[in-house]
Amino acid sequence: MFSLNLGKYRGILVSVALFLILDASVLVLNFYISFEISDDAAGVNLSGRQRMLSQRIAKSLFTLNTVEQGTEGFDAALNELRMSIDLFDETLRAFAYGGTVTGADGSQVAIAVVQDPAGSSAIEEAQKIWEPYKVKLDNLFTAVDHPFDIDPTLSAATAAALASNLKLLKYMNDLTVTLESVASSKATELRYIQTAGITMALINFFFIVGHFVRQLRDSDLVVEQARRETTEILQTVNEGLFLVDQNLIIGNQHSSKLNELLGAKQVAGEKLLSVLENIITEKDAETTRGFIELLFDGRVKEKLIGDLNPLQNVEVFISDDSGAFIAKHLKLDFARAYQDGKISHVLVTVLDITQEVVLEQELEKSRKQGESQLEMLTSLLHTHPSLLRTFLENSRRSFDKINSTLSQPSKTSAELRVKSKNIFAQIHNFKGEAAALNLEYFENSAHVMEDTLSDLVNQEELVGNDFLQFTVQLETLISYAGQVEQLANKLGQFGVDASQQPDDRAQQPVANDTPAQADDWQGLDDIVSTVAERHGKEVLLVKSGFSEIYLEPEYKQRIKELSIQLLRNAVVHGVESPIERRARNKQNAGRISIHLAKISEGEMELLVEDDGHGIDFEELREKARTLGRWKDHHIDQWSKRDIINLMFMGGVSTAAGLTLDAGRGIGMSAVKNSVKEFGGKILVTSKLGRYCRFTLTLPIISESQAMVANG
Amino acid sequence: MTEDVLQVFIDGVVRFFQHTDDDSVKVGTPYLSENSNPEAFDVTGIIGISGPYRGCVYFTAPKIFVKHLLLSMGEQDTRKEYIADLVGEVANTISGNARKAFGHEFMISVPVIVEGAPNSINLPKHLLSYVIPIYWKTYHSAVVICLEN
Amino acid sequence: MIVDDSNIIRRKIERCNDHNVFFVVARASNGEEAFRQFQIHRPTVVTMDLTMPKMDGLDCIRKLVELDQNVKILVVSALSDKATGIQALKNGAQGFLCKPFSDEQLVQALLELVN
Repeated sequence: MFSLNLGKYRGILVSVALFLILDASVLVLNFYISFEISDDAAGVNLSGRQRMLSQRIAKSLFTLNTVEQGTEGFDAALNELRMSIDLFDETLRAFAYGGTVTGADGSQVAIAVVQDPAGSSAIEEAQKIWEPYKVKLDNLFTAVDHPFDIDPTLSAATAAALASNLKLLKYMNDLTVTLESVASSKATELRYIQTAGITMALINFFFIVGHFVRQLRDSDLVVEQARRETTEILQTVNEGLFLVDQNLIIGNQHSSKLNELLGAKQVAGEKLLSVLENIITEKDAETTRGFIELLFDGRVKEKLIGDLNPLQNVEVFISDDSGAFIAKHLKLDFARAYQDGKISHVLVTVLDITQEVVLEQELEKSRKQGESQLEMLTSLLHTHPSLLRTFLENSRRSFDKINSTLSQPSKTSAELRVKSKNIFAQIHNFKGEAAALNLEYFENSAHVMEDTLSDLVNQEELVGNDFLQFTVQLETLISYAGQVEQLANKLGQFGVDASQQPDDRAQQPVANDTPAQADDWQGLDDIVSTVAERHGKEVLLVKSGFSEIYLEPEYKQRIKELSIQLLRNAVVHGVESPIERRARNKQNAGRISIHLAKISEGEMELLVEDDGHGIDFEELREKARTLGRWKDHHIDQWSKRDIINLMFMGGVSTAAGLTLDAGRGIGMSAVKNSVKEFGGKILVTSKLGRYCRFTLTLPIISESQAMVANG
Repeated sequence: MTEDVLQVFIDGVVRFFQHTDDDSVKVGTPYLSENSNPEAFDVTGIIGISGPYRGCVYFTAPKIFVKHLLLSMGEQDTRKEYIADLVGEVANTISGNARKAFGHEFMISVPVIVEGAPNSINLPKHLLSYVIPIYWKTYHSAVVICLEN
Repeated sequence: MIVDDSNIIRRKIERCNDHNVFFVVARASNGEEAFRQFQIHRPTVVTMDLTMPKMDGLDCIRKLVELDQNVKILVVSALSDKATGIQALKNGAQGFLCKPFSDEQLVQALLELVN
């Protein structure tokens, strides 16, 4: 790492090294020269001593001249003279040739040969004078030591002193001055060197500082620019971007969009999972932790785990002021981020994929709708368009009626039971019509709803809440009817609903029928054949008189409902199976006739007759016994009339099990209720094994006012 | 929509009345209403729902009902704010119950109190709402549930 | 080696290898069998289903990795539970391919695995 970064810092390192070298060399020079200067100072001191010694020699000579030989003063002067001479001579020689001399403190001081030309010439001159002078002085000592008469030698030495003393002093002075000037020039030199060194060090320092500052500024500039760019990117991107570390902590920088997307104010530095806490389920959070751990595991192939990302579609909700929610779909992408070849972070990208998801959902919805519409279409295509329209109008009316029955306030169990019975009858009628048009979905739904209602009727204690299931079923049915209506309208727009062709077909066989009226009764054939087929029976329907009486449309609808009920009853309960019929020597196909005839100005007769096995009174008596509602001895006493009344009561039926078409025993009670409502009468005639005939006497209602009055 | 979901909201209201120490509350037979003509009394507390189902649920009642309810709870002051507060409280109980039953899957907003019927924004025209009448003493009120999935 | 309890999936995986990028040395329909086959054939690459009778994929992966640290295991499983997928990777598999997959996807995933 160090060698890598040296490139960037080489300049600065060289400068610092230079600075140190410079400082060191100045220091070394300083030391060296200081030593030299101190050496020179010793030389200057010694040469100064020479001056003093030359004068002391002369002074000692003069003292010897004035004191008596043998006295104490004479000896002291002689001693001093001897010492001074030795010291002077030794020092002078050391100056000329190098060597050591005794210093002022008695220690040995090394003296270098004087190099300076002025100095060395002064020494040379001094030596020239000193040599003869010293001979004279030596003679004096020889005389003193032998003991000769010292006077001649003393006066010779004194004369020499007189001749040499001043010169010697001058030369020694010259030497001192020279040595002093050498020392001072060295000091000057030292100052120069120090000044130069400090100057260079300063220059170096400024260079380093300048270089450093520039480099820092440059790199700061780069960093700042990078930061600005990053910030700009983070502020403008449409995605939420951030890094998480191994501990799932979000990094300090993230795109500003992130707050908006997550609906969180504080994100930076937070734990990822606590930020997501209210957005994803606990299980997804755990899976997310595992998934990110995998991303930090270099062994696992990043490209091969994308499918395991649990946050590919996260739904978040943001509530607005009115309490409604805005749903958003987010996608969190995770990618490894490397630093120096190691996985340092995971980069998380949060994308708003709401539009894609909504689009996808819409596609899916329309695909599903398309499927169910196709299913509807197949069932609708074989239904006569105007019949279908009538059916849908009627259904809407009966749904409204059911709904308004539901909405009647009723609080007691008994009231609720009545309610459920009323609704049952309404649903039952609806089912009949649906069956008539072979609209299976409607028929099946109605059947299921009948189940629900009969459960309610049989429940001991009823509360309003028990109707919830039924209401849900009703809603489903209504919305389905709405879809069928939409589809039917679309078909109308495409011209499929061209009522020409079916109308023509209806017109031709019954020439006398008013087209509009005849058309409406067409469904009776369909229902009879549907129900017959379902029960494995063969039936021939003969009908007449339906186009001869004009009836108010709503009333006509009710009559039609009655007819359907009676016809269905005839098919299921009346006509036997083909095998049974053959056994009784009857035709395979049972015959059911239905007639509508005017019997007076205000009355008409609806007759439904089948050539089946008639009413089996004993079978009904048995049935009554199994219901356990009546005492056995009562049942035994029942007349045929009582038993027929039983047939019209709810909850009694002879069909073996519950089927779509019969077995609830409510159909006939619905007939009875309607006839009662219209103020009509019912006559039942039957012969076991031969026939069963229902004759209904009903008012003719051709105007809506009359209908309202009666209904 | 399933009964279970509807039941949760109904239970929420019933639960509220259970707190009033008066168990005379009765649930009527649920019926449907068209959103073009929403069922509403004088005061209505609405909560927004989102998640697997979205839409709104509201409790609506006549003022006199709420006043009586306030009095029965020992509250003497029946000013407008108190009435709104109580309706909000009912709505809160509904939402609390729903939150408990549905968990994190559903998002439920804080109640919004309005006079009369809720804003049409909350009631898509093409949908039917479930109206569950709530009878208390002689009064009628209702929970209305309009959700689509 | 191909490990999957459905012989249809095994055949599908094998068929993907039309270009003979890989050489199928063994097949197994459950974890125990896979473990035995692995000891005999020592395959370098294993495709592994997770839900299998007898030893399931999670245990099998752990055992195979114990035996050979360098084995490359690609989990090929339905995405019913992502947490289980993650656990499989923690147990030592290196990649995950979601069922249903195309031939192309499988070959790409296997190549990615060995590179």
